[in-house]
Amino acid sequence: MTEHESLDERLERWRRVTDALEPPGGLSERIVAGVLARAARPSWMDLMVTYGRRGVVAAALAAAASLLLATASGTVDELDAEAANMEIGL
Amino acid sequence: MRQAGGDLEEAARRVARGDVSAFATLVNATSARLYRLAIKMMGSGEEAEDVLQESYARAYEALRAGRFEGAARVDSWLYRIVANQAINALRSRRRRPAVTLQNDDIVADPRQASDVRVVLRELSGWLDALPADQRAALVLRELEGLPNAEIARIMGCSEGAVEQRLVRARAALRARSEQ
Repeated sequence: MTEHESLDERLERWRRVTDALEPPGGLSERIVAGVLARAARPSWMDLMVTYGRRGVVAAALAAAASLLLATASGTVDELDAEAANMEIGL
Repeated sequence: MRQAGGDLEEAARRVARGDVSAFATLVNATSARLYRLAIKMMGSGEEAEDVLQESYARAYEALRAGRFEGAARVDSWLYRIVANQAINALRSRRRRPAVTLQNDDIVADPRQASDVRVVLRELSGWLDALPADQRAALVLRELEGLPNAEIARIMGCSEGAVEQRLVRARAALRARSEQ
């Protein structure tokens, strides 16, 4: 580097040094390991397909069960009303 | 690059068929060249490695999903992925608070390290002041030696826009050198 280095000279020096640069040891191995580990992880979409679908089925079953219970036994308000009626002997 | 183009094309086809060792072949043959591109763009060894990791992950997904159709050579295709990933990283770096650049463990040869460290510190100091698009155009033109037409293809803009970015980048650097 000189005191009066022109912009072109500076860029040329940067190019020369960076062109000669050799990457740190193990770079390729780290990249391959990282990419394969990432590929082995389930993606958000995979999780949605696997567990999301199960979640939808579970939610639908829970909703159906609540409906059956409510139909068979009445709502919480109705149960409270029945209990109150029993207390007063109705 | 150690592998001939045809070997890389064959390795890419094997990756698409699920051959993991072929992916290692692809990375071994291309990572040194692409690391130099990434470190010139980012000015930091750590960020260059992050860019490479993300780029190869995207390339791997594309190959496995059959999205690489072989219209371009594999090494040119990877080069464009890394260049674009670096541009995106530069743009998002602008939106985050400034980070202190670490240049430890950037090169294989420790004797080479101090020269490289000095240049990268200088390069970062000068280029960090430029907008991401100007910086990317300047690096691809002046440090990678690409023609404007190729830079335009990589950056998804016209050759005129590349020329304008280069003129502005050089003007900003020249103004700095005259300070």
